[in-house]
Amino acid sequence: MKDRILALATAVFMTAALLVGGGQSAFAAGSPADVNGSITVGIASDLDSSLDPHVSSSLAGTREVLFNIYEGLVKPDTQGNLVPAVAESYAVNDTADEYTFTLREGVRFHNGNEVTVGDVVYSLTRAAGLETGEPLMATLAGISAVEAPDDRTVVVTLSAPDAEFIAYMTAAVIPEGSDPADGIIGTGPFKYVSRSVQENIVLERFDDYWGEPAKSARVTFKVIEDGQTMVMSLRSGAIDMAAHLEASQVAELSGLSVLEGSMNLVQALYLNNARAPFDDIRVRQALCYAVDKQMVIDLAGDGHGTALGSSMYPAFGKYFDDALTDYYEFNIARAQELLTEAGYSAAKPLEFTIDVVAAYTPHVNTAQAVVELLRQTGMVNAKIEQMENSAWYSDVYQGRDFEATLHGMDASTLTASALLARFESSNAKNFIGFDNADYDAAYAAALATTDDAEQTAKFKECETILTESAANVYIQDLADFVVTQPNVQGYQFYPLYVMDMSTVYKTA
Amino acid sequence: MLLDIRDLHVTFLSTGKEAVRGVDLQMEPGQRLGLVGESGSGKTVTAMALSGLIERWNVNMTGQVLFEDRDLLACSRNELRSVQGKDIGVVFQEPMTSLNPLMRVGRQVEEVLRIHTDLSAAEIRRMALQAMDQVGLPDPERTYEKYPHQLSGGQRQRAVIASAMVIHPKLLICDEPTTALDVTVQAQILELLRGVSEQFGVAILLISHDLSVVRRLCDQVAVMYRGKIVERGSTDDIFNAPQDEYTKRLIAAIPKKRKHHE
Amino acid sequence: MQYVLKKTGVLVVTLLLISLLAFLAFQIIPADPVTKLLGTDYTPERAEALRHEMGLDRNVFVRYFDWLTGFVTGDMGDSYSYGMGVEKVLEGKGAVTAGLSLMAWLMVIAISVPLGITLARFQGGRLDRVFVAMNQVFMAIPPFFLGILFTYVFGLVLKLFVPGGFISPRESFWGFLGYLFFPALAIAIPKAAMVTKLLRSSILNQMQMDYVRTAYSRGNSRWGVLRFHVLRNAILPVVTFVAMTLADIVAGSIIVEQVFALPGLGRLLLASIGNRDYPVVQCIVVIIAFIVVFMNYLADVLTQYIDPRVRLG
Repeated sequence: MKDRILALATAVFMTAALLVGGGQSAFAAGSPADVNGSITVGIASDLDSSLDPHVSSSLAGTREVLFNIYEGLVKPDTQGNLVPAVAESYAVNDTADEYTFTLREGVRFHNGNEVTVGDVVYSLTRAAGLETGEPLMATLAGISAVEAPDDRTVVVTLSAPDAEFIAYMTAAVIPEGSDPADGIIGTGPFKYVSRSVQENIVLERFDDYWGEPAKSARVTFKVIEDGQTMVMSLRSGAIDMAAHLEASQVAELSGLSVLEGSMNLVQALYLNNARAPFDDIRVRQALCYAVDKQMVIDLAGDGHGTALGSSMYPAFGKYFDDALTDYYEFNIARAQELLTEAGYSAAKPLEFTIDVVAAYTPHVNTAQAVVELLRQTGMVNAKIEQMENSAWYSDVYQGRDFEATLHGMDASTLTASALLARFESSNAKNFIGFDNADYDAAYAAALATTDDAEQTAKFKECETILTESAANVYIQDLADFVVTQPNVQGYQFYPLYVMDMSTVYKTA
Repeated sequence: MLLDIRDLHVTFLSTGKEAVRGVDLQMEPGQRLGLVGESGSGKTVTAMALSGLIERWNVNMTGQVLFEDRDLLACSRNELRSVQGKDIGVVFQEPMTSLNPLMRVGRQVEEVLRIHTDLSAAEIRRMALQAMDQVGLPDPERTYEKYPHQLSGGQRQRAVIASAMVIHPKLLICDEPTTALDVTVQAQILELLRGVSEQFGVAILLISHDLSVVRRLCDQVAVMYRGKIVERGSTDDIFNAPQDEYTKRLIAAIPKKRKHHE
Repeated sequence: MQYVLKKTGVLVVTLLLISLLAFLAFQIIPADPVTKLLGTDYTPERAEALRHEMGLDRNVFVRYFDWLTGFVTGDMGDSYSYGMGVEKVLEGKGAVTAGLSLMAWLMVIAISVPLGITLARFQGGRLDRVFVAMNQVFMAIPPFFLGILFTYVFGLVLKLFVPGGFISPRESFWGFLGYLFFPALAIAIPKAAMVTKLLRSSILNQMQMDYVRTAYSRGNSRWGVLRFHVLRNAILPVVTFVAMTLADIVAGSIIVEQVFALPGLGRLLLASIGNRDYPVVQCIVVIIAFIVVFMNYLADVLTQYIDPRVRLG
């Protein structure tokens, strides 16, 4: 579960959306696809690492691209459902600790070989670190065994029940014995052609794909880190499309198709609950009352963005509770009252620093708006400290040495845990130091049950606790703009951070 | 008459100072005339005006400077250039800096020939070597290839003189040519200038504040004070019976020892 | 010979020092490669294990020595963040930066030498006055701003090039050079303004010298004085500056590479610093340091060639 950290601004990746009603799809009816078409996509940061799909440190932007190359036993669709991919079906036992998959016939790797149970067992064993004891993917840590009783069936056994587990079976299937460092081989609609660091990554349609073949013959992801250059490249036609643009960038583009979705992340002023001044709930609540979310969205995002009230965003559907969004209605007087109770005044204002990754412009803009709104109370003096991404990881996220930070957290899988696990008091990722016994109990109960309704209720309870205890100042799910040349069609938003190029094509 | 300066006035536009206030001065061919005065008396300005080296945009000049009956003040820049170097050569005070540090000595000596004559390169080189030999530069072939910094102060001044006289101008203006040199070298340079003058019939206008130097080279002396010529006569007359008060003071100022030495 | 030995010695010591300093710098700034690799999956245990695996838990000097011996024997190591050999990561990047920098440098010379001479020759003329008035502005224009301006004017309005449409030299060498033209110009203009100013004032300064008066007294025209006497003298202080400008340009190309989406060393360096990817950073730093020292050496040689008073020793 990776936070979406990266994304934004710079960009990369993401996507997704599902706005109300599920994603605007750009299918413009009519025009036939150019089957030999070549699409160039601008991405705002280079892919990281060796493009190893199991190395979960892969950035969201890398996952977004790899989505086109690799597939798991199941894969998400645009509605957020998990649909069979390399597997043609699966079954879960009653205790939710044994998952049985039946492989689809005729699925081939990009090297031409047919996928066998051996490949699947190898892939899951590798990703779960069953032999090394060190899972490459933290989500797979619960696997205790992977077996193939026959040549069409794979059985995954968990050490504890987990009703959400199927969402993790999107983990990539790679050829038995292979190492992605030596060659990128998957089963997806596109195969890897070449890569030049900081320049581009080139994919080609995989003609033996088991499913609907990709509509374009070739896709080039071109690295364009500078936001202004991205805009220029779109205007000049050097690239055919780019995702994750901001409202201000879109404003400079006319004559191009603009699709609006949402980033699918929880942007908030994350507060260090473990240390002063934010160990005091009155102070946290005061900030919540003082920050007018809609005003922030108007100031920083030109009105584009979806206000949030807890660590959950609308694309999650049943887990999202819109009632929490306005739990703290904008109320300066109440904020001042709480601050006064906590011992602050105009003469002795609350002072603190907001750490922001400088490269993520939307977060920086939002932070500035927040500082301004807080200043309106006359009792809060916040200042922004912009930092480098690595420094943010090391000091804020890993070192937990901060007062407040404006950031966005995303979900790498469609599970509530992807967003809520980090607030469990003993969780390694609980960088805000949230420690609430009720929360821990509700979260544990949610994980333990196999009853969907109950689980949903428990997760919502978690969200409510986060809101009531003002764990963070929740702000919004950022708007995500995808801009394409007018002759580019077929882009679809997902409720996850992926960029599915298989449906995108140029009109002939 | 070689040179006839009539009622020359020079005023600097930038400062408004009138440096030369009605100078009349005549020179015959081959004559050696000393123009004497303290610094600021206008003697150098006079010399620059007649050599055409004064920056015209910065001065207002009236009067006439007739060089062989041609008024240099009325000449265009291009016309002036045909005279500069060819008919009027100049030797400046600072031998250390008046040569281009990045150009071989021989090339500087012969430059005037390249500008003003159509002679072949070989002929030009031959003449340069000859001139260098005549001014007493050692081993002209080798000196030709040297750079100024490789020469001593006296040698440099000889090179400057060689570069000015190689074309045998009619007038050589020497502006304090020995001031920067030590005494023995001074004497040699003055001797050299006298030789050049006599051998080639070159007239010399020697600008100096030092009467003793003038006395050794010139047969005529003109004394300048505050932009005007206050006295003119043969060297002996001026020294023995100065008429003007200022001239008397100048002569009295010559160090006793030096005077004795003369 | 002795000079060459000495210079080579200086080069080696400089490169050693710079690479060591670059190495040590990473000890001071927060975060290490593991930080970035693990990102939000960080736990102290995983970090420790990964550090051990990557050898990052060893003493910094041991690691430096390790890197150094590798480098000297031609093994530049593997990039932490790209999971491939450094030479593979650098592949093609050097050509972009070298092409961009050299082109910009030649532009600086091609613009500033004729312009500086012309301005000095017609000092106080209309062109000169306009230049003097505008020069501050030109010198102060940040290349990234020019870059954006050029992209807009020459790219989008006049359509002389396709912004963002970088063509790699593998596809078309001339297309590659063509695409570099405007980025190079964006880098060159502020530098050219500086060099022009320096050359102009150096010429005017030389024009005051005694030897210039001597040259005039021989009947030289203003142009003759300029060409045969002043220029060589005036160029002396400019030579070193111009040589060092190349080093400056290499550094300045970092920003311009961003603006024009050029996959060069500069962008890679920035990204690699961000990723704490020492092996890549070290390699680029050494390349840049080498360029600086080499240009310094070249400036020395040129100065000596021009000025007989200078003898290398």
